[in-house]
Amino acid sequence: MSEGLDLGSPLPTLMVVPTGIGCAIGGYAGDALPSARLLAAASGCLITHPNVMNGASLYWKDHRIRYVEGYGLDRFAAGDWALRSVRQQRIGLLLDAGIEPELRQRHLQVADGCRATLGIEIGPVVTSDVPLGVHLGLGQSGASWGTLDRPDALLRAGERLKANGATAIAVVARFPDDQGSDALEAYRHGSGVDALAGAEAVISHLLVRHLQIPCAHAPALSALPLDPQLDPRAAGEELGYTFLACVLVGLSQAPALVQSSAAKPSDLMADDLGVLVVPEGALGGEAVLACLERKVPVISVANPSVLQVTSTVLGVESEVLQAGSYAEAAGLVLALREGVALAALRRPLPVLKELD
Amino acid sequence: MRLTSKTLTLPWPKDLEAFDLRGWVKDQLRIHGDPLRWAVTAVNHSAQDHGAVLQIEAVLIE
Repeated sequence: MSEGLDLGSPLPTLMVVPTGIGCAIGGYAGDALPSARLLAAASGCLITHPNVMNGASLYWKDHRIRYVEGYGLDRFAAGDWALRSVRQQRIGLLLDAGIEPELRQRHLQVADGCRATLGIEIGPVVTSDVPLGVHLGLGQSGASWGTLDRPDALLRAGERLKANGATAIAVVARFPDDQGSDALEAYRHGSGVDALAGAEAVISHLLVRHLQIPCAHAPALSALPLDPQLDPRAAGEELGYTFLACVLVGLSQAPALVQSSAAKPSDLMADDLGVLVVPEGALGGEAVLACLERKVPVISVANPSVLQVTSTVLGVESEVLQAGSYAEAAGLVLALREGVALAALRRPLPVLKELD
Repeated sequence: MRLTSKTLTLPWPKDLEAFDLRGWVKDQLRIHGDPLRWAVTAVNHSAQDHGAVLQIEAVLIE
């Protein structure tokens, strides 16, 4: 995509809102999606990840948005993998053997609903040979992390799906129920970290790393009791029995992941990236550091989280554009896309200096 | 295959810019396993100009 730029043509923009760090925007049930829609409109081409797009039963389709799981996003930003547009993915459904029969049936019915109502290609279905054994954890920073007892079982099931024709994988793992903890209450009331998110990312990272096809995760959980004080940002997760619908929609046209060495001219490459948009305290992730390394312009957005890895502490404040909101970031993206000098949009505007 | 969570606290080499941090962090993580998911989650600068200390949280494959 690098050759022959036309003025006003799409400016491929990477939007990262790291999972499980409690971002005020994007730390809940797909609540960065409105910001993603705005950035997609401003850029004409937005690459972002499931944490931004997944709202459990809620989702949004936009042909300008590329849905790329976090591990694939890191490889893309580092220049290792390219993104290839596809008309349709065939989504294999990977179910954890630890899911109870009734909850498992709910997930199968969601998959059938997405086939019947949305026309998504789904199948085959594989159940892991043993329960995956998800464990949740919090890092010293307060970010959520997690691990699996049986990563081998996850990968075996993923291999079976791929061998039987799946070109993408939706994985559903049984997560530990949490009925009424302080952390869950804080999350549902809009002030905490999503405790599940870190383990979810580990599951999808493992599959994408191993199989190099699009994957995304939905946790299987028992329904929670009604909470009248629910924060609107968490409400998307209270609409149904599963979090699977958004994953199936996102994966249905997720770009294929190809080695950069095998990329075609029409594929999207890291060299095509025009700008990265990221929360101001979350500059320590691999995709962001890869963009800094590759001199991709970075816009950091005021979006508080538990992290404080800012452009100042990294010593790159002169290289990073600051935006007070995603609306302002969208304006900066549009200016970059249209070739408007950013300095001309701000005051004071210093006079020109002649070289010594 | 086994997954482990790890937190590393490492002095940030003074001659290393943020632009070159990614490869260096991955090299440090590879001493302990194959990095699956990681991030620099804190940077603490000392008051006496003794440099900075990086906190890195990761899930590694062993």
